[in-house]
Formats: sequence, structure tokens, C-alpha cells
Amino acid sequence: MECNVFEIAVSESADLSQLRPELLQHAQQCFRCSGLLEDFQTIARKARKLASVEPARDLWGDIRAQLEREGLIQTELRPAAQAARGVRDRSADAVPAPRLVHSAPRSR
Amino acid sequence: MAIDAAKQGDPQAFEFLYHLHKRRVYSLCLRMTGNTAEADDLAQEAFLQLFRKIATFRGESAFSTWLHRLAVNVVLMHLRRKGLPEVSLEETTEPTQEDGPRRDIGASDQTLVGSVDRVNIERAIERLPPGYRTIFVLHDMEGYEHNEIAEMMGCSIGNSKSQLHKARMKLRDLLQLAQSQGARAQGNSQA
Ligand SMILES: [Zn+2]
Repeated sequence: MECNVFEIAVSESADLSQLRPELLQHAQQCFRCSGLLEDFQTIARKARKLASVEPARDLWGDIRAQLEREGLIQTELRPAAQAARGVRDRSADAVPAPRLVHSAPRSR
Repeated sequence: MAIDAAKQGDPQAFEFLYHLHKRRVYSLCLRMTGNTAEADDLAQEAFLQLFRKIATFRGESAFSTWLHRLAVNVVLMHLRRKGLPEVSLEETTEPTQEDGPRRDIGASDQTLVGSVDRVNIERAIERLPPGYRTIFVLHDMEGYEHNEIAEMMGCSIGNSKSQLHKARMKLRDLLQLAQSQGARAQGNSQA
């Protein structure tokens, strides 16, 4: 197997740790390709381990505001505020309460 | 279940789902764009689309897989709108598989010997041309297969494979360069 065939075949392999036998055989015999394979494996492994990152700004406020504008989430008024504005609490009619998860009987 | 509650418009369920998945979605957007401001906007857009479509989620795939795919599509749409080539333009002028892989001038065969650190990897991924970066992130970091990438990006499977190969070679070159610069800086400070 030629080195350039090896290089292309390696990128066609979905999993670098499970190469076809003929590729492994070439890597075992070719210093250059074994180095290349090792580097590709190292880079992929370390890239996958990069920590996930927190968004640079808090996005939830904007998301919520937009969802409210679109009427996708129920804008709840606190009971006191509703009473103050003479609003009947319709949220209970409109929004079924999330189902309660049955909790296991306490062992104690 | 938060997903069921969100389908009913429960704001707390939306917020719970947002906090549960925000890091993963944002990280994907950041790595695909290499830009924090763009990543913020795209993550926000991905969550908005998620909440708009959540009623259609039927649970055929895992929720996180569904969300992830949606976020990838949001980023790809953005790159398309920006006019950035999702697959490198070099593809049209570079050797194809039959010609064998392109070797960058100056690329050495020296191996990285496992000494690659997190910061250098982050930087090298950021410095990849957008088309290469997209394929590398999707395949080597996020675990998508070439056929899935080809479908999402509207390119051929062969193109996805050759772009991945070039992305890996480019990354390796960038890391080798960082390594030799680091060694030189160390040498200078000791002199
Ligand atoms: Zn070889």
C-alpha cells in the first residue's frame, strides 16, 4: 500500500481506533504513516475532550422575551398582581399542570 | 417530564431545558464559528427554533440528538448566509483522491508525540479555514458520519472525506508549528 492511499483511507475510516487490517499493517511497517495516524488519533481525542463552554452572555432573558412575544410560553401573573388588575386566573384552565411524578414510598 | 411540560408552554420547563443544554449547544456554535458573539446569537436562535418546534418532537431520537442536529443546521444556515464556503473552495483546484493527498509546503513528518495541550488545540481549530473547521468539528468532535455530514452540508460523501483529511493535515501542521514556536521561545528564554 502506498502512503497516499493510506492517508486517504484513514480519513474514510469512521473510527480511527478501528482501522481495517491492511491499514494497520501499513502503519506497522511505515514510520511516517504510523506517526500520522498517532497524531490524528491524539488530535481527535484531545479535541473531543475540550470542555464545553458557558455562553458569553446570559441568553435566557432574551429567549424568554421572544417566546413571550410569540405567545409560545404562558406569561404568568402572580395572583396578587392578577387580583390587583382584576384578572381571573385562567392559567389553570389553559395550561394543564405538568404531571406529577409518583414518588416511591419512603423507606423510613 | 420537562419536554412534555414545555410542549404545554410551561416557562419553567423551557428554562430548565435551556440550562440543561446551553453549554453543549453554545460550545458547538462556538467551535463551528470560532467567534463568541456569533456563537451567542446562533445558540439563542437554536433554542428559539427548538422551542418553536418542540411540539413536533415525537421522541424517535433522543432529545439531545434532535436539539444538536437542529443547532448544527442553524450554524450551517448562518455560514451559508454569510457566504462562507462550507466546503473549501480549494477543493475545486486541489488534487483529488486519485492524485493523492496534498502535502502542505513545509509540512514536516515529525510527530506531535502527545504533547499537544488544550490551549493549542483550541487555537488551531479556531485558525482552520471555515470549511475545514466545520467538517472537523462535525466528524472528529461531534461524531457525525460522512453520510450525515454530506446530507447536512449538501455535498458529496467523497467531498466530506477529502475535506476531513485536509482539515486533519492542516490541524497537524498548525500544531507542529505551535510546538516548534514554543520550543524556540523556551530556548530563547534559557539562553
Ligand atoms: Zn506510509
